[in-house]
Formats: sequence, C-alpha cells, structure tokens
Amino acid sequence: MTCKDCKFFYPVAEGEFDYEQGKGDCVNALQDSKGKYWLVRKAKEDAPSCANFKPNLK
Amino acid sequence: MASAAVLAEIKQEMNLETNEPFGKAIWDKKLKEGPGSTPKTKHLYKRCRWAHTAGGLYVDEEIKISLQRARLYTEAHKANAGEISVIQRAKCLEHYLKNCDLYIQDEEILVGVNSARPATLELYPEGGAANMFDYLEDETLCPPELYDEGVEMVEYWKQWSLSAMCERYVDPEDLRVMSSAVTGETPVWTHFYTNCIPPYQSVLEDGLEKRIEWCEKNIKNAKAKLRQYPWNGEENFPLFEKIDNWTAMIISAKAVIGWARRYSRLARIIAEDFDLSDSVSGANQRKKELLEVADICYNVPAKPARGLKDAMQSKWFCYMIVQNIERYSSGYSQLEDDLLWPYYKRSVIDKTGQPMTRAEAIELIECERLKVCERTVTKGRWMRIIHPGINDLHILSIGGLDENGNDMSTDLTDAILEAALNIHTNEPSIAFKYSPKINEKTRRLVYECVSQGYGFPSIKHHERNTKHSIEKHDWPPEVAARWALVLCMAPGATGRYSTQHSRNEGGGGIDGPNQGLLALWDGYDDWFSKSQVGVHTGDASKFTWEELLKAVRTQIENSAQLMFMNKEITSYAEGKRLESPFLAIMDDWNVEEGVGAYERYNKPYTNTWSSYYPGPLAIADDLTAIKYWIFDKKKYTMAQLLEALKANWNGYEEMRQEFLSAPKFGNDDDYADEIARWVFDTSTDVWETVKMLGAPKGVQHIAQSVSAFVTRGPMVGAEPFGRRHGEPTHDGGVSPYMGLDKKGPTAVLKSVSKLPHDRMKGNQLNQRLPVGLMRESEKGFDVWTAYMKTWHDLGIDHVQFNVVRTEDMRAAQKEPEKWDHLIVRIAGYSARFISLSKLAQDSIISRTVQELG
Ligand code: SF4
Repeated sequence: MTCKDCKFFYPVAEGEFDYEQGKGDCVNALQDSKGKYWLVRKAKEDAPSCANFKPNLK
Repeated sequence: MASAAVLAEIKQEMNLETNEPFGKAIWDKKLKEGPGSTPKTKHLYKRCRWAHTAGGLYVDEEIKISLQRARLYTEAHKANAGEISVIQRAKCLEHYLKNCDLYIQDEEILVGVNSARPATLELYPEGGAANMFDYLEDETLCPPELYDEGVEMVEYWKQWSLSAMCERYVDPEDLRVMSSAVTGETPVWTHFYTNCIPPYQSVLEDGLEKRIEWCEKNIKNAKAKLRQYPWNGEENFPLFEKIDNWTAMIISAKAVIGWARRYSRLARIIAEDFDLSDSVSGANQRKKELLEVADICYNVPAKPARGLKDAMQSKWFCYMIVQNIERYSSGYSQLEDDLLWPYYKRSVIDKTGQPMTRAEAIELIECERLKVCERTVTKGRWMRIIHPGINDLHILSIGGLDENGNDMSTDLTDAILEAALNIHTNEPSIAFKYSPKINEKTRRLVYECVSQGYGFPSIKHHERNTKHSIEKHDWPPEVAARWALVLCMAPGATGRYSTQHSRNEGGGGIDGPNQGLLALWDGYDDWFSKSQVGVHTGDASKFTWEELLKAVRTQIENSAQLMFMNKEITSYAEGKRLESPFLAIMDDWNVEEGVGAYERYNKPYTNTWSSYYPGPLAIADDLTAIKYWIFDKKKYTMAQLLEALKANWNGYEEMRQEFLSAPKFGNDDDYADEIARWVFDTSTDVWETVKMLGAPKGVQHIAQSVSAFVTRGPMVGAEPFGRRHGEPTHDGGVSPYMGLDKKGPTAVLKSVSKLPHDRMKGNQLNQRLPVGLMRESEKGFDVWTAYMKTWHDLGIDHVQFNVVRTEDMRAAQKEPEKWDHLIVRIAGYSARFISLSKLAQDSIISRTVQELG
C-alpha cells in the first residue's frame, strides 16, 4: 500500500499553487498535551504507507 | 463626576450586574469564572500554548526548534544560486509556502502559523551563525537529530548571511566593542532582531491580486519605455532593478495567496472529513465555522476584505509572512481601531458585509489576543533576556485624534478594550493615544484596564507626539496624526505608504548608565567586559566639573557613533542580501517606485530614531551626587569617590548613604532636575547632529528601558548616586530611581516636565498607583482623570501604571502556582509576574506607590 491508497491522502488539483506531479496532502488529526490540531504535510503518492494508514473507502 | 450613564452602558455590554466598584467586580468575576467572554475563548485560554521566555529560556519546556523553514530556505537558495538577490529571496519564500506543513488547532477561527508544529521555533540561517548556534547548542531546545543538519546549514550560509556581509565593513576593534554589550545593544546581525510596521491597509483595501496587477502594469510600462526611441540611459538604467523588484513582489504575493488557499483547503477537509464531536461549539457549529474559515482564506488576502472576519484574517496572514516567515521581525505595530474600523462598521453596525454581533466581534478580538500569546519567536538570547515574561514586544495602538482634532475612537476602540478586560492576557500590550478630547466611555475603559493591573494601555500624549512627527520627520498632518507605536515607545507612520520597515531605520540604542561610568574610568569597563570599550577621556580623579561633563559627552558621542554606523551598514546589507519583497508589495511607495522594502533613499516618511536603554537618568543622578558632594560641598574628592566605586561601595557605607541622600531627580528639585535637563539636551544634540540617510533633521531620540534596567545590572558598575554593581539601574526612561522619589506624584510630574519632551520622540515614565483607589473605589476614575489632566497639561510624553499590591506580589513569590493571573508592567510591555526573575520582581515591588487624591 502507498499513500495514494490512504484515507488521509488528498490529491492537489492541477493548477493549484502547490500542485506537483506525484505529490498530495496528507492530513491527520493529532493530539498533544495542550490540545488537538489538524496537520497537513506533503506526501508522495507512491511513498510506502505509514503507521497511520487507513484504507480509502471513498 | 464620572458619568453614571457611561458606567452603566459598559456594565450592560459586559453583562455585569453589580453595585460593587466596576474594577473589583471584573477582577472577582475573572477569578471565579476564568478569562474569556464565550465558551470558545474560555477553552482557548485554558489550552493556550504560552510561548514566553524568562531569563532567556522558554518557559514551556515542550518548545523545541524545527529546521523546516531553514531547510526549505536553504534548498531554494541553492536551487536559485546566481539569481538576483531579491528574486532569490522571493523564490525562497515561494518554496517554503508551497512545501511547509500547516495546521489548524481546535476551536480556532483565526488561522495561520509560522512553524511546522505547535510549540516549535523556526530558525533563520540567513541572519548568521551566532543566532543559529544559540539555538542549536541549547540541548533543551534542539532535538539531537537536528544538530548536524543545522551545523551544515550554518556552514552553507556563512558566505551568504547578513552577519557575514556586515562584518566586512566594520573594523575588528569596533566589532569587539559593539559585541561587548557594554556600550549598547549588540548589532542586529548578531542577535537577528528587527522591527517594522507592515502597511496592512493596502492589502485589506486592495487585495493582493490588484497589487500584483499593479506590478505587472509597471513592468509592462517599464519595458515599453526601454523600447522608446531614442535610448535614454539616465532614465532607463534604473528600470532594470525596478523590474527585478516588481518581479520579486509578484512571485511573493502569488505565493502568499497560494499559501492562504492551502489553509482554505485544510479547513474544508477538516470540516467535511473529520470527527468534530468534541468541539466546545458542538459538531455542527464547528463544521459551519470551519467552512466559513475555508471561505475567508480563499478570499483573503487575494481580494479586498468584505468585513471584519476577512480583515482580521488578512491582517494575520500578512503579519505571519512579514514578521515571522519572510524574516523575523518584532512587534505588533498597527493603529488597530483605525485600520479595522471600516470593516467593523460594515459587519457589526451596518451589517452589510460578513454581518456579526458586537459580542462575536469581541470574541474574535479575544481569539487574536490568544493567537499572539502563542506566537513562537526566535530571536537572539540578548533580546530574550531583556524581554522576560513575554514572547516578544507585541504592542498595538488605539485612540488619538485626527488631523482636525476630532476624536478617532470608535465603538471598535471600546470593543478592543473590552476584549482585553475579558481575556486577561498580557499580550499584546496596548498603547493609548491620549487626549482629554477623547470621549469618556473610551477613557473609562482605558482606566478600567489600567485598574486591573495590566499595566496597559500605556499612555502616550497624542498631540505632543503628532506635533513632533510633523516638526522632526516632516510628515503631513494627516499622516502624523495616525501614528502607532513601532515597539514600546516610538511612533511610526501607519497606512498604505512609506511605513517603517526595519530596525536599522528606527530602533536600537545605547546604554544610559555606562556612558557616565566610562567617563569616570577613562573608557575602561572593569565590571563586565574588562576591556577598553569607550574612548580615552583622561584621569577622572583630576577632573574639574566642566571636564567631567565634557568627558561624559565624548563617551556618549563615541557609543552613539558606533551605533549609527552599524545601523547604516546593516541597512545597506539587508537591502543587498535580505530583501523582503512581500513587505515591499504591501507598501504603495515601494510598488510605485519599484524599490525594495529596505530602500531608504528618497523615502517620503522616514522614521529614523534610536534610544537609550536603560535610560540616561542614571547619568543625571550620578552627576548630581558628584556635583553636590565633591564640587559644591567639597566633602569628598573625585579620587575618594573612584576608590569607593572601585570597591563597589564596600567599606564606604557612610559615604554611600551620603551620596544616596544627595538631591535626586523626581522630587521637583531644580538642583537635580537641571542636571537631568543637561543630560537629555546633550544627548538630543548628539542624536540631532547625526545625519542618517533620509534624516536631515537628525536622528530622533528616545529614553526608555525595556527590562534592561534589571538584566543589564551586572553590566553596569557601581554608580556615584549610591547604586552597587549588579543592582537594577534606573527604570523607564524618565522614571526616578525606585524609592528615591519621595515627594509624591505631582513632584514626579514636575521634574519630568522639565525635560526637553518637545525635542524628543519619547520618554518612558513608570508610575505605581494604589489598588485600593484604582480598583476598589468609586472615586478612582475621577482622581485618575485629574492626574491625567495635569500630566497632559505639562506636555509629558508618556506614562504607564502598575496597579498591584505589594502583599500580592510577595504572596506570588512564595506560591507562584496560585498567581498565574498576576500581570505587572515591566517597561514598554506587561508580563506575568511569576515569569520574572526574583531581581525583576523585587524591582517592581520597590517602585514607589504614589498616593493620588
Ligand atoms: S503518510 Fe501515512 S497517513 Fe499520510 S497519507 Fe501516507 S499513509 Fe496515509
């Protein structure tokens, strides 16, 4: 499985400022001692999935 | 008599049903219910990630460095090697904004961050090695896995950094003196600290898309001019550089629009795809809020603000870029009520754009205050040490009169003050442009904030400061009237055009007390650097009174010369190496002329100023004690005094007590006050003699202290007025030494009024007033108003108040965990008392409580 198959992977549309072929956004909900936050990081479509991977059922 | 109707209106707006004095009722309510006017801001206050420092260290131990910005900037710098510097800077910004991580925190309605994760600090390798190593070598801040990569970056930037360029122009001996910290602030390029006023108004009114079109049109016209026959080199040559500047502005602005829209996308994804059931607003409401955030971030800063929500978000995005991402810059400088009033009116009063209630607007302002408290700031240890208890010098301005003398305060001014009363944060501080012409309700709210012990609003004399800007900076009256403080004390132009962009134009300073001491020791500093840092002015044991004054002036001139030379060198270098094209596109003058953000040739509204910090009253009290006991009473000789000072007064207690008992500034005693006048006039003469770029009338002069009066104590040797080495120096710029003003508040005001306020840009005065009168009595407002009238009539520049009980401060020293809410005024800013060093706490406790009425 790769990031592309993950529920948290969001492709960036062509024409967007940060569009780059083969890359998208990985969005996760995270929690630390102070509170919750939602983080977006750049992820490669073909990168091997990480421990947070959830299958994309959309 | 204060109007009961005004008070009733405020109570109603703040939902306070009580017959107790208003200040006490607010205080008690906050202790009972906690800060925040709504469940959202109560929650955000509780989970606020305070990012302040104390003793140079970050109080929250979870704060760590990140290398994301440094890494992305380094990558882009390498990838664009050989490119014109300003375009290279734009491409670094673009690369960062495209690839950086972003996050939105729970309950936020104002978004935008400057770091890869909450509670992380991003670094600025382009500043220089000193600041990078300051963070990399601090094991409490630098995760070990980042160290080697950080060092590699330092190596790369060695040849490209601001400090590397500046060092070329400085003689090594001068560099040693400037870096000693004894004569004054170390160079900007060693601690990488600067400040500016972003011209927000242009972006809120125009939107960036319109400004990009303006730059594109300028490029088109310039290229057309190049094709005109016959060729005119005089006119055409400058166009090449202008085209580069406009190109860099366009790249930056497009990148900022794209970055804001990344937030828009993120907010929509969170709203649509994530579980929001634990939101304090409820899942549906939170989803609605996030979708609105998505809409706002899509709209601004690309387009003009439609209402208050857009305006606040657009302002915050610009702030993040200009003062946190494009480079670090201190401050939160803006005339906030004037800037946001059109949008507040549209949303809250007319309901024609982004309609909202007044209470919702206040909630948004509370959110902004909390967001400022969470701003993680990377600045040199020198600056962290002199800013204890805060993240940074965040000071916004409100109030004042327009050029025709009309009250500029609006319902938004009152909403800003009410939000401050609700949320009880020490940051951002507020400066109030005071005039008795300002309506009573606004003045009452100012008073209520003061009575809570916030130490803000600090009060600046509106008319005096406006007049000074017209006379000394040649600003037109409508510009001069709309000043906002740049940092603690200095007014700067606001608006769309030609605002201050760098500390090298206005800021920095030399140490007050040490100028007098260097004159006593032939320029040698035996207390901190153990080296020659001043010029040789001769053996003081043989000085006549006149020779002593001459030596003091010579030391001032020498330290000031080093400071001014360094400011201009840095200014030149930042234009060549460290341009900020996004800041440039915000400013109409830069876009019109096609010049970089740090250009100062022919700049219309220059703001050249610098300070003494700590202030120079130490010189005055020292000289007064010397004159009194040595040259007038002839009880001691200069040689005896030097012996006693060398011994740090040890073994000379009787003599020290006599020098302490000599006349002192702050007691309406002409003997001391005339010498203080000489010190201030002499210093102002020196500043005015200096012709920095764009300042034909000389550099404008300010006396203030930040908190350097405590932190610099170890750098200032024993003083003739009776102070020992290491003890706090004079507090403020024109505040009498703690505990030595013995004749009451009017005597202080009279002494202060004898100083040359009209010649100066600012003079910081700290006063301490009793809690019983200010917070717990019905007559406090009337008594304070009478005091303010005297202050205003005397033409004094500034005043700020601590309203805090000695017993509360002592209790907080014993059980800090119970006194998290205690705020005190330090200097140009307010801090949580428990975050201060014991010495700083004691110095606040030692300030004389002035009994009014
Ligand atoms: S990095 Fe992990 S969580 Fe993110 S998209 Fe890839 S697999 Fe999913």
